[in-house]
Amino acid sequence: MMREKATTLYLGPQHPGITGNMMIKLKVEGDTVVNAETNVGYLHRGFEKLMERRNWLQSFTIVCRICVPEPDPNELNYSRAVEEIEGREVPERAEWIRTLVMELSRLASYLLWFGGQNGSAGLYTMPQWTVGDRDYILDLFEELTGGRVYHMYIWPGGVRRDLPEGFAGRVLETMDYLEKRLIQYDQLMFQNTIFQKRAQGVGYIDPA
Amino acid sequence: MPNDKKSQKIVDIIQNAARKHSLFVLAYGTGCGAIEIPPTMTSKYDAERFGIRGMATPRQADVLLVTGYLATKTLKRVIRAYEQMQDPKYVIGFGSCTINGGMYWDSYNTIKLLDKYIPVDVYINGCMPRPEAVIDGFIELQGLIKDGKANGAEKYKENLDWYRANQKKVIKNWNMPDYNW
Amino acid sequence: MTDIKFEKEQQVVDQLVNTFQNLSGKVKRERRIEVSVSKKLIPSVLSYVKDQLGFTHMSHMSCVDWLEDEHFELIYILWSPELKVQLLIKTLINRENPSIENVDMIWGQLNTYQREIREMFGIQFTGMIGKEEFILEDWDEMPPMRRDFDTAEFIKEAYFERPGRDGAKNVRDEIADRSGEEIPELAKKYSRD
Repeated sequence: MMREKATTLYLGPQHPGITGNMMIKLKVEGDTVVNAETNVGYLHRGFEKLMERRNWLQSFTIVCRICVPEPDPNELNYSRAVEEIEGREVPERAEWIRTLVMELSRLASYLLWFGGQNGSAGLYTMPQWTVGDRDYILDLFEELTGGRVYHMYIWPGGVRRDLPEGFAGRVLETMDYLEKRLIQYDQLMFQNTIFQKRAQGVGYIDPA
Repeated sequence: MPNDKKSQKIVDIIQNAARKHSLFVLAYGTGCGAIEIPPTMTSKYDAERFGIRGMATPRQADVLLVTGYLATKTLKRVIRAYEQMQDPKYVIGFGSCTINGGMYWDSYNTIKLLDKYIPVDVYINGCMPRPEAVIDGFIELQGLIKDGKANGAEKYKENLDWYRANQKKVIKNWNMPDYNW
Repeated sequence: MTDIKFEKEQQVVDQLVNTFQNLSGKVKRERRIEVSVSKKLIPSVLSYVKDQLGFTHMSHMSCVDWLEDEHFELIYILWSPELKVQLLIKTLINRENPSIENVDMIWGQLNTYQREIREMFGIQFTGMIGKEEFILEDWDEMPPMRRDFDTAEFIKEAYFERPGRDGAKNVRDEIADRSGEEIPELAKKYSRD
C-alpha cells in the first residue's frame, strides 16, 4: 500500500469558515491534519506606538479596540495599571459596577462564539438564535454606556457615570429570558448526535 | 436584436433592477468592523429581505465589503480578491477608517485613504455603524445601480497604472502579475 | 502600610537572595514580588524558580526601552498557583548589539514571546529556532517599537493624507482663533507636537 504524501492547504485570510482574519498553513493526509503552522499579523496596528503620542487620558479611548468581540477586559487592564502607578483606590460601588459590566460582556462573547463555531460546522440555526439573543445584551449596554460594541466606560478612577433608573430590573428580565434559552441551546448543540460524532476525540490536548 | 438607443435603455432598466435586488457579499472580515456584520445578516436586523447574503469565494460575489482599517499585509490579499471578482462589482467602504484614516491615523502599519488603492462606490461612516446604517448604505448603493452610476470597476480598468503605482508604493514585495485579472 | 508583613512573599524573596549573588528583590504589595538580576544568571534563576519554588506558570514576557539610560529592560512575569504570588524578574541589556541567551526549553510559550521581541525591538536570542518574519511583512526599516523610530516622518513618506487635515492637527489653536480667547499657560505644555 502506498502512503500518500501530505498536501499543503492554506486556510487563508478569506475563508467562510474562520471567524476573524488569520492564516493557518495545514498539512493534510487524506482527511487527517498532520501539521499546522500559524501566520499572523493581518490586524497589526501597533498600539504601544500609538500610545506614545497620546496622553494617559486620550489613550483610554483606543484601548478597547484591541480585542474586538470582548472589549471590556482591555479597558479594565489599562485602568488598573494607571491606578497602580498612581496609588489610587477605587470606590466600592464602582467595583461592583465594573464586575457587572465585565460579566455581561463575557456572556455576550460566549454567545457569539456559539454562533460562529456552529456556523462553521454547518448548523446554521445556531447563529441565528445566539446572535439575535446577544442583541438584548447589547441593548442593555447601549442604555448604560451609549455604544453597542465599544463602550469606553471604565476609566482610571472608576466608571464614567452611574447606573440609570430601573436598570437592575431590566438586567434581571434579560437574564431570565436567556436562562430559558440556554436549555434549548444545550439540546440543539451538545446533545446532537452529529456534533458528538464529529467532535469527540478530535484534537485532544493533555492537561499535563 | 436591433441595437438602437431605446431597446438598449429597456435592457438596461431590466438588468439594473435584477442586479440591485440580489447583492452577494464576500465573506471577508478585514478589520474591527466585522463585529457588526453578523447582527445585520441574522434575524433581528434582517438584511436578506433586500436580497443581501454572504458568499464564499470571490468568483461568486458581487460586493466587497471592506470593514474598517487595512494593514498592508491584508491590503495585498484584498487587491488579489478584488481582481478575481467578475464584472459588475462594487466596493463599499465601511467605517471612518476607510474615509480618512480614522483612529489609526498615526499608525505605521495601516493605510489611510482607501480610495487611492481600490475604487470605492459608497462610504458608510461611524465607528461602528449601526446595523440600520449598514442597510441604509446598501439602499444607497441600490439607488446608484438603478441610475447607472456605480462604475468603480470601469474606473479601475481605465486608470490601472495610477492605482498600481499607489499600491506598489506601499507593498514592497510585489509577487503578483501586473495585469488586471 | 509598611508595618504589615507579607509572610510568604518575604519568604520567597529571602530564599532567592540567599541562593544567588548579585540579586536584589523586594515585596511591592500583597501578592507581588520584584527581583532584579544580571543577564548571565537568567537561565539558572528561571530553572530554580520553576523547580524548587513552585512558580510553574509563565504568564508573559515584555521589554521596556529606556532611551535616556541607553539600555533595554526585559521582564519575565511568573505565577505560582499554590502560593498565589506573582513574581517579576527583571534584567538589563545593553543597547548596542543587544543579545541574551535563549530560554525556551524551560517553557514552550517563550518561543512566541521571544520572536515578537526580536522583531519589534531587535534583540537577538542566541540559539533560538524560529522564523524571522512574524507579524510584519517585508519590513526593512528599524525595529518599530524602539523609541527613536519616528512615526510622523515615516507616515508622511509612505502614506497619503486627506486634504484638509492640517487644520485639524492643532485643535486648541483653531478654537482659540475662532473664539478670540487666549490659551492658558498651563494647557500649553500638554500639546502633542
